Amino acid sequence: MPESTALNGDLESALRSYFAVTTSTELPRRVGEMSARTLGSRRRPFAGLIAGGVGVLATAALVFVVATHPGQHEAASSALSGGSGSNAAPALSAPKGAASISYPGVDTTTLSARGILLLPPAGHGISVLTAGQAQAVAGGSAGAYAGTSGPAILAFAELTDQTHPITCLCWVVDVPVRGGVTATPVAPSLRTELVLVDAVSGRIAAVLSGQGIP
Amino acid sequence: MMPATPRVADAEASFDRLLSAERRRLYGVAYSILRDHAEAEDALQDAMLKAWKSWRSVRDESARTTWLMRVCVNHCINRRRGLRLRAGRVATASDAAVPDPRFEGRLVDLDRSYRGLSPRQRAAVFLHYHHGYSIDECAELMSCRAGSVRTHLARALASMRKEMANA
Repeated sequence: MPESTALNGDLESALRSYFAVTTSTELPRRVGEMSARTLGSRRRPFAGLIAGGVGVLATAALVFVVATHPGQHEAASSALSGGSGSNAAPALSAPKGAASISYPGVDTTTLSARGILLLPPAGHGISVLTAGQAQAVAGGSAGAYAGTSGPAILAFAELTDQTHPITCLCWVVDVPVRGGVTATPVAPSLRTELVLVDAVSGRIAAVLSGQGIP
Repeated sequence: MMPATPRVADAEASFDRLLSAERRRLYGVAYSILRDHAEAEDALQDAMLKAWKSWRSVRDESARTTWLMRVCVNHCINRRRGLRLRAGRVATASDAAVPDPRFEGRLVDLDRSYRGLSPRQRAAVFLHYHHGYSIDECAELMSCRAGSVRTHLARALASMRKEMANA
C-alpha cells in the first residue's frame, strides 16, 4: 500500500512557520564570503595541523623578535601575515545583486522588479525588537480587519519604488486583511499585506500589497 | 601572485555567480539536515570545495543549480552519517536537549520531533515541503529512489504527527 505523504492543514502551517524561522537566520560570515578563491585557499584538516604547528613556531619567533627588538614589531608582524594589502577586510554591507531572502508565498523576483529588495540582514546591525513584538506591531497596523500574522523574518529592505527611497533593517511580517465591510452577504475578501517593521525603532517602515504578494 | 588564466577566471566568475545566488538556499539545506550552525558551515564549505574542483566538468549550464544542490545534500547526509558512525560519538549542538528560544507553543514540539528525524528524513521533508521539489526531484537530489523518498516522508510525517499529538 502506498504510504501517505500528504500534509494536513495543521502540520502544513506548523512546518511553514517552522522553516520560516529556521531559514531566516543570518548567514555565517565565512559562508557569506565563500567564493572560488576562498575555497581554493581553504586548508584541509591535515594541512591545517601542519599549518597550525608552523603558526605556533611563527608566533614564538614573533614573540622572540618583539622581545629582543622593541620598536620593530610592526614590520615583523606585517612580514609574517604576508602583508596587509591582499587580505583587506571585506565590506560588511550586502553587495548589490545579492540573493533575496525567501519569505513563504512571496515572489521575490516580482518584488525586486517593482524596486523592492529584501536582502539578508547580515552586516546591517542588530534588531532591538523581537519577532513577537514585530508581529504584534504588524497585526496592529490593520486593526480589526487583521487576521493572524505570519512568521516574522529579519531582512535588510531596500525600497526604491517610491519618492523617498527607504533602506532599513526590518522585520517582514505578512498580515491577512479582510477587505472591509460589504453590503452583500458574501464574506469580505482576504488579501495579504506585507508589513515591514523597523527592527530598531519599531515603526512601520512600509506596507506592501499587490503583485508578488499572495 | 600569478594572474588567473582567462578560462580559470571564467570558471571562477560563473561559479561565484551561482554560489552568490544560491548560498542562502544551500546553507538552509545544510542547516536543516545537520541542525547545527557550526556543522552546517563546515559541511557547506567542504561541499562547495568539492563542487568547485569538479565545476568545469559540468558542461550543461542549466543543470548546474541542481547539481550544486545535489552535492550539498549528499555531502551533508553523508557527513552526518560519518559523525554517527565514528567511535566515541561526537556530540553536536543539535543533540543537546536545549529548546531553541525562537520557538513557541507547538513549534517547540515540532522542533523536538524534527531533530529526532534521520538526516535523510530531514532532507526529504525540507526539500519536498519547504522548497517544493517533487518526489522524483528529491530522489535525484538525494541520490536515491523515489520510493525511498516516499518512505522517508511518510515516516517523518508519522513521527511529527505523533510527537505533536502527544504534546
